[in-house]
Amino acid sequence: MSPPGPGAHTEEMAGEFEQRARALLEDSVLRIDGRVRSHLNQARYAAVEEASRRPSFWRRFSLMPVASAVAAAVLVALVLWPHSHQGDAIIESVHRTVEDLDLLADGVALDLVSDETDGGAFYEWAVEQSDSNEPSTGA
Amino acid sequence: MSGFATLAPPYSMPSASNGDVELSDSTTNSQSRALNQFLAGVELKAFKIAQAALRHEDDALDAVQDAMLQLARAYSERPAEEWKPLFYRILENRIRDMQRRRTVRGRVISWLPFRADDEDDEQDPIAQAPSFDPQPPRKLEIAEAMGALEKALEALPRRQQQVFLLRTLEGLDVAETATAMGCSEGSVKTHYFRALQSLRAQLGDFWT
Repeated sequence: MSPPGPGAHTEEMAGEFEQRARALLEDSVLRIDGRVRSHLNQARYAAVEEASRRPSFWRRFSLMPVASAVAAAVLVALVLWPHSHQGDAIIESVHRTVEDLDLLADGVALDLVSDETDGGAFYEWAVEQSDSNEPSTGA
Repeated sequence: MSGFATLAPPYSMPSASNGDVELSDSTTNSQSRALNQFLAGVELKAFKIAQAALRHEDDALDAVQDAMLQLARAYSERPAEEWKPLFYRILENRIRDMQRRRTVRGRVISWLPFRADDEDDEQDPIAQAPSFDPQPPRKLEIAEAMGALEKALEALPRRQQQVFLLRTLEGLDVAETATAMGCSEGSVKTHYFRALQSLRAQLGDFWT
């Protein structure tokens, strides 16, 4: 075991010096006046409020189902896009359904249904008109 | 200069007035508590460090306030163990910005034919009133020692001063101090050693 060198004494003195400086600085922190403490308090609460305004990590995850639904809809649209003739058929079908609903909901059409002399001729005519307007499929 | 007028009143906890985020959310609540606890633990020492660098109480308050807000905005979701070096890094940057601005302002003012009194420099008459508290000898001794230390700290180069305060007062280790100062660990050791040498040279006679 070697005896402590001259550096050991220097280190000990440096340690003492640091301890003394630390004690003094900590004492000066304790003596910070009320005005400064009050301002720091206000600043702290403002910062905490600022942090709580930000949406949390988990809250951002709560938007995942909506994002997934939108992504799925976009994916379906992209898959259907190349088959444009199928897309046209779907659009045509939707268009006809809307037309039928329009006829059923129309007040004049309801009068025609209630007219016993008509006997549903209006609807037969409407179906014929619809079929005659349908583009030929070549069948 | 100070922007404290716009802040919430003291001693009032943040309210859940914002409809977007509810503080009743347990994660947000525990995070807010942790952040509040962290900031309460560092704010006084941070103020002391900023004051030593800026030598102006209101500037030091502004710097600490900005650092708190910046930490809350940008890093509140980081693990709490990372907050301290990040907070002091932000504070260090803020102090540097303020010192640069002050230098530029000083240059501009030096060119002016007259200097208007800055209203922020007005002294608070209550703070200036003489204290009638008798100072016991021990208290006086501490005050003298602290005065000498503060004077010696002021004489240090800024990097040495900040490294010394971060290590001695805040208790950051070498790695944390390096993160806070934005320099290498070797640089921290060098600055700290030189700071110790200078302070001992200046205070050695006074303290022994």
